Amino acid sequence: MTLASAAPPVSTLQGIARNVLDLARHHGATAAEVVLAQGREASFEVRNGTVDKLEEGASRSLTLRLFQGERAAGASTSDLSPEHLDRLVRDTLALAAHADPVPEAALGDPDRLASSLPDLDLHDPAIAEIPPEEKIARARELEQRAMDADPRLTVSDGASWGDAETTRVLANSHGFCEGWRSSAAGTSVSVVADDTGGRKRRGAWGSWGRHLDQLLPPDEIASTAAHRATRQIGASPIPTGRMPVVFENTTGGALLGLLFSTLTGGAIERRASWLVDRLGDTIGSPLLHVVDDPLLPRRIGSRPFDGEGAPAAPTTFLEHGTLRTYALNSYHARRLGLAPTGHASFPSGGSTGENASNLALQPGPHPPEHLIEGIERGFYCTAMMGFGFNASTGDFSRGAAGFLIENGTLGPPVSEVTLSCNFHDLWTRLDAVANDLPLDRRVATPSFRIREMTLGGRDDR
Amino acid sequence: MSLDAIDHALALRVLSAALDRGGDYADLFLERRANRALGLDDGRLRDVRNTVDLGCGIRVLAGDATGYAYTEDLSAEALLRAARTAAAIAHGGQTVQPQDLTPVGLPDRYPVAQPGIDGDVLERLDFLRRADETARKADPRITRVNVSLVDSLREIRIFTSDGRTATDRQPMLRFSVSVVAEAAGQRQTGSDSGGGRRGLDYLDERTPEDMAREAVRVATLLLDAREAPAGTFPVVLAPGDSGILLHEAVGHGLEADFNRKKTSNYSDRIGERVAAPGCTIIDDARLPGSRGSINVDDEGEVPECHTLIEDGILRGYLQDRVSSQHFRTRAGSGRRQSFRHVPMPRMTNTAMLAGEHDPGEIIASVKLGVYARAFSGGQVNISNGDFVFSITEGYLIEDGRITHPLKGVNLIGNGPDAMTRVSMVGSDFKLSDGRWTCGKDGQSVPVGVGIPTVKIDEITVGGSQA
Repeated sequence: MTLASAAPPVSTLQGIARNVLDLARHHGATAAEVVLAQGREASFEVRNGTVDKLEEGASRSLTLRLFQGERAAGASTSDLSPEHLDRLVRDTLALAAHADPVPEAALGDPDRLASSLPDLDLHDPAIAEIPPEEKIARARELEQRAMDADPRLTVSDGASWGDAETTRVLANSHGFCEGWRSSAAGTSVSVVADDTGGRKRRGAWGSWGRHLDQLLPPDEIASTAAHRATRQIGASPIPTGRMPVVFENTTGGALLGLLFSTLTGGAIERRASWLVDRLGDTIGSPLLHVVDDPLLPRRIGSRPFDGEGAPAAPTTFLEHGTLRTYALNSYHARRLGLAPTGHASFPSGGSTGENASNLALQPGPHPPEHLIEGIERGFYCTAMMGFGFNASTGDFSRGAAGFLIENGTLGPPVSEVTLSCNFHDLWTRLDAVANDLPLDRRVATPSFRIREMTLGGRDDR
Repeated sequence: MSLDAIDHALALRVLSAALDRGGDYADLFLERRANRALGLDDGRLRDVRNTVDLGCGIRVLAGDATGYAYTEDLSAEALLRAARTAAAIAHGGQTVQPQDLTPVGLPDRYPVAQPGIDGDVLERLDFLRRADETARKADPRITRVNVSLVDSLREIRIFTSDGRTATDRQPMLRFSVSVVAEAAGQRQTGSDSGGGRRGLDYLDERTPEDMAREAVRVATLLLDAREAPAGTFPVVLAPGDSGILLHEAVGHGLEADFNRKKTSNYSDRIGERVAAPGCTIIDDARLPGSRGSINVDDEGEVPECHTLIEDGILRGYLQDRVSSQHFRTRAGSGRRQSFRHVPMPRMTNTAMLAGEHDPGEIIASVKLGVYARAFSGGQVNISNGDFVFSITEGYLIEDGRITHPLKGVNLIGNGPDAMTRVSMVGSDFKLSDGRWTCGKDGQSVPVGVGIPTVKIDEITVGGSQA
């Protein structure tokens, strides 16, 4: 019941890519870049013991950048028929004639292309072999265990299984033509407990990886989801104040992701970042040590080369609080007079920028529970919501939920509050980092503590 | 390739294959989407891009359960294979035969003469250059200007096993200006954008110069912004984009999939008071040219105007086909991002009807509070009803007057709780100007919002001044 042998060998896409480069040359392009991706995905959702939804699909895409001298245009399509590709190349070249000459937007330098590819073990052939009945059975078991974990759970929001395989190839007219195949599988469950006033407390947990043996056992996922729902029962706002805040390791990734977004070439070159002109400056406490490592075997964010074909290598963006480098693709590097760093994102229909591979705040020595010790009154943050971040100034303000910390222990659950702080102050006040770095996320932090933030809450007036 | 790749005879063959394991209903969703993006980056036309996406999604319903498969290969063989994949949701033999196809009559809600993206690049480039030039000249503190224009055309054709077929061509225009202002070591960005299901004539009404000046006004204003307060305050929402409040605090919680599964804080509450008297909230797909408007939803139903809350009382949910069968009511709010996605209940243009208060009188009624004029986005937790939205342009209100601009700040409230604290509704209803995109379960769809000036007596403001 699969749609096709959907993630083809790398060589199949390499063949198509070379044809497109030939076509581009034939029609007069002076340089060209092609990215091809082809894969399949499948998911199963079980609710109340029966299959609520099954989804399956196969897709492919071609993204093209063609140059006429210093003028360039892009295109993307899912139609790889020879007739369509021929027209696409001609139309794109015609479009390029309208562009302004932008010498900095040229392809990555030929001497910066990856020459040998590391084997990162990103594809597990066993995933495609699992029969659908087993995927459904796994989701059903997970849902059952989660609902059985606590009598206060009243509604199941379902359990799911999903997997995907993708082959990706990048080729350009400097002679680069490489790719890799990857797989991913994940499973998750979401359960709901009733609270007063019609409010419901939803808890979800999941696990994913590139290989089947990386998934957590169902019991652990189920009990975590149940706990995350029931522990919020009775949550309410607390009064406004300034206090220490401990971020659970599930929430810190969002903060680190915002920090990364402001040190990308895209933000720096547009001058829309609080980190403009700050290379070499201390922007956080010595505990702010942030490394991106694309070469970790079997990890979600790993890649052998970046979206321009530059070799992958670990990068220390923040070295004990000091900003060492921005994340730069060729265009932004040339605009800023710096060297590219191997963080060009793969184009997917849109224009390109930079992204991280496996980005992490380096863990500290503490077990997470040590972070709340000694806090007389503080906030333990387990969820954040909203988009309150000004990249230009670093001003941060988001909705939050979690727990009151009283006299070194976790107190009652808290919801409907806000946390705010300027990023410079926030990272300077980072005063403890735990040892619980999650390994199944692209952008992750251990639990950590900020000495003081402003919490906006409910005040009696 | 075009939508004509699938004719009626092939559609009926595929629908029949989709139903041959006993599904109750099946549909085909054929889609071709073409975008053209032009981006003027620091004065140079660098980003020039065409995107084309084409494919077909096949859905089979068996009770409340959904089987779905999509394919980009539109050959009969690939479509039949996808149909058999989706059919696996049902277990048994065929009981329903697809009916002969009859076109559904559609209204015309897009005031565009000839929808298409293949227009003149030079004409479009002129709009970009006008905005760029205006922004640069407007203020010496402007250090960077980016302008973009994206035209898109989404063509859809739906074939259903109950005998309906519908074809729609959905145009979309979006023009954006983003600037950076720098002075005395301070740096701020300002942006403005607009558009909708409109042609380039939109830019004669709301000109590139207007949007450039607005972006510059915001960026330079924010250079002087002060820290916002933290805690509970009265908040006055400006008309237009503040409708994001309704989208987050009310709209998502009323999407019927959450209520069918009983995971929303609005589940089983029809007929109850969930907002203050005077609050009437609708979802209206009919508004001509608005970003959220559609002639037909992604399940082949013609969407009309749904009353969600009437004078504070919860009246109904937003339904797609699956939920409407469950609640035994009409569908019409089924939308999806693309042929790769299953439709879900979604909003179109969500709005609060005008009240009777003079906007000036509303502001004058606040002793100390916040005036919210522009936003970067919002989010809601469906289960507990907590919602946030982030202000990018806000002001302090002191003694009934708007005073200092405030730094960006997040507001948080709880749906029914905040909505029952709406104490004044203005007479100045305004619709947002074509800039919002709504995300749900990983699917994005364009939407509109609208609201008059509104006062909420108490909501939590997430500033840093405690």
